Amino acid sequence: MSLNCGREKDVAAMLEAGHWPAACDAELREHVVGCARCGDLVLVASTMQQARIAAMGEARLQASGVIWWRAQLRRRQAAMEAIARPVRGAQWFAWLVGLAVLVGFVVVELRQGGLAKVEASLGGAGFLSGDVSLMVAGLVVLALLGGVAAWLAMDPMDRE
Amino acid sequence: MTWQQVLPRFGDGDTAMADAALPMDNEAFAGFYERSARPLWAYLARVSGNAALADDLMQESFVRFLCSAQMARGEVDCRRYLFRVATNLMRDHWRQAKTTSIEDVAEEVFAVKDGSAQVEALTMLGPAMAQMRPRDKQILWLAHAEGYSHKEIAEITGLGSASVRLLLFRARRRMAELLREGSSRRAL
Repeated sequence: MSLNCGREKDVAAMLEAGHWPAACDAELREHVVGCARCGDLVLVASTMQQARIAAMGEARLQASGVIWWRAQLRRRQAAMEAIARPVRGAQWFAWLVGLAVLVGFVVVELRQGGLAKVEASLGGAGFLSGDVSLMVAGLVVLALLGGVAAWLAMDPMDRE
Repeated sequence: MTWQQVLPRFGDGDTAMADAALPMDNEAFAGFYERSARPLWAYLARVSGNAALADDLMQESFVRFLCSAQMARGEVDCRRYLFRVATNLMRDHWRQAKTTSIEDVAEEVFAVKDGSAQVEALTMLGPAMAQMRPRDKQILWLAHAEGYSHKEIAEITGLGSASVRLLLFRARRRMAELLREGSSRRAL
């Protein structure tokens, strides 16, 4: 069977318009009887079109409003997720900064504890240790507050 | 404290923002749904052979269509895009290879209904469709039931236009053979 038939388009147009076979000229009908390709087209297309009509009658459709509402809900959830993503990043960043400052504070305290011993042995006042401690404590509080604020800003569902 | 309190414009119940975000307004969608839901369901039900699955896939197709940021130009484009979404969903479903027991198939699938040539077409088409490859069933339905051109089928299925032509030719020949076998078996 060849891949092409010159009359196939005419037959397809007749089928699509619903003119096959009643409103079709005799010459085209004769052609279809003799042409395997067009015969297949008529058989398959008419069976499928009938099946389509029958199937469309079987469909049990939901109200369009329900689908509209579901789409809106999904769209809104996606938007909320997109908004929450940078805040989640900020939250992690705040925790990391807090942790780094805490570690830094401990390290500095340990080192200055050693320095204080040296200063004490030299008879110094230990002013450096006090200033740095205050600054570090302030940074820790700031970082923790930032983290808590970001956490509070999150939706309860997103926290889990 | 929640997002609604922190950023009320994003999180409140006002639908204005959500409405604006969807590609169609509610009324336009209702009209589009009325015109395209039944043909889409017929496509999904006949190609998948499962009415319950067709229900689920149809709903999901419309939801994804609405959620998509793509703004289609007109109803024809919207409909083609909808069929594309449905085709992809059906393909994803087939990829999750699972066997269905006969007990899981809805009773209405087997029920014989009163009617005429349409029922006969369904009775003939069902067994023939069951023996076809999923992709061939899709192409055949899109071409002969929906009347899409080779180019449009290529857009919907993601295949090349030349491939569609060849695949459609082979699928149609095979389907015609199966339909003839079926009708001669019924005649005996």
